[in-house]
Amino acid sequence: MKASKRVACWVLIVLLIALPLIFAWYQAYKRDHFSCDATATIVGKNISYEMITHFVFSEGTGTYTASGQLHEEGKPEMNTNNHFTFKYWHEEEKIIMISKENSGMENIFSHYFPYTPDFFLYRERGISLEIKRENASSYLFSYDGTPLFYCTLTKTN
Amino acid sequence: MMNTVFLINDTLLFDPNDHSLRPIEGLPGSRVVIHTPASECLLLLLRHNHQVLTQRFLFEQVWEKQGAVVTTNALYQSIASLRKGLHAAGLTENIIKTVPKMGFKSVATVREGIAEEFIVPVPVISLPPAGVNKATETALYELPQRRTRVADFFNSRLAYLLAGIAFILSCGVLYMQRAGGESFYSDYSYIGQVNGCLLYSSWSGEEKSAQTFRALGSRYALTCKSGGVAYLTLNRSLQGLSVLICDRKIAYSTAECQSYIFRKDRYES
Repeated sequence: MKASKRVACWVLIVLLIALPLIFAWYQAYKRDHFSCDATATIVGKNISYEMITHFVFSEGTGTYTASGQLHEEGKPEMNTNNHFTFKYWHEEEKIIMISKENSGMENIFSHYFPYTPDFFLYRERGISLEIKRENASSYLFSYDGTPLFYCTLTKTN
Repeated sequence: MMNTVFLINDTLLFDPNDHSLRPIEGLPGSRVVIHTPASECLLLLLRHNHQVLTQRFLFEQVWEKQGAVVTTNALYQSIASLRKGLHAAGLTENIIKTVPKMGFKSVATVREGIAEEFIVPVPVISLPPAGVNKATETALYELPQRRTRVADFFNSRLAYLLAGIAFILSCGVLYMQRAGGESFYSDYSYIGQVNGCLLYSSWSGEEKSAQTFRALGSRYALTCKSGGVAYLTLNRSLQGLSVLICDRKIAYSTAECQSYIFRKDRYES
């Protein structure tokens, strides 16, 4: 009886030790396995680009998909679609992402928005984004101290 | 039914069911069967370890219960027989102390448990070929010393101390992982209501922030629903500005937000 009580006590102790580690592991797992949607508008002078983006992160490989509309004063709207894959890893609170493909949007963006980070346009270009969990359902991606995307988690990849 | 046994001084195993004493693995001595009254005396002494049991108590519990009436010598002979049995089984210490004018007491280190807890069957194939038959009989049930030591360790204060340290470290890992989890906007200053939005700004100056927000609003329609919140980020590198407009404070998980990035373009110098 005494022995079984002792065993039960140690099972409880091991569980208490393991629980925070399991929770930490689960948090780390979720940080590396998620997908999210964001809407953003890039505004220049007499021009704007409204886009809906979808990010997928899964074990070091991700995809970026964006569809948008370019509005330039005095010109017809231009619809765009953009999809490429990237590899990524975490460094402290930042995520380093390296594009694996050209976006196909290089000409448009380098023309209208010359300060667009190369990652979104060219193959093998990197970007360091800070990713913060803002609430239970969303992350905020910021670049060089400036928030870019408020990304709401989606249920499936 | 589970067989309760006693481990005496981490040396001997006493099985009251078959009145036997046997040494644990690796110690000298052999299996000894003691007679029933001696076995019952030992059982009582071990169950009341470190307590003095009077002669009267022992008489009642061992003999009178069976309807037997015996002399004091019967008790002394039983105790003497018990001491010899313990010694023959390999116990070097005298654990049965005579307390003058009072009775007897056991001064052993005793652990009580089921036989399966202390005994691990040893596969026959692991035994050396010589003397297989005899060795098999004695080695089928052995108590590995290592297992006893492990059990003792888990019962020690050191084990609980280490467990406590492990728990603290475990919580530390979780805390470190979650540290810095505050909102990106946690240190933004509340500016006031501007263009229908509750405006928060990375710049603490109210006038400059409100003025910039209005200027951006004239460049692109920045509108808030009732109770909407706008977060204005004035980038220090001045490569662009960012506004996040949400239908409620960003801390709420139901907050819906859209970002506006105001960047220099080919028309700007």
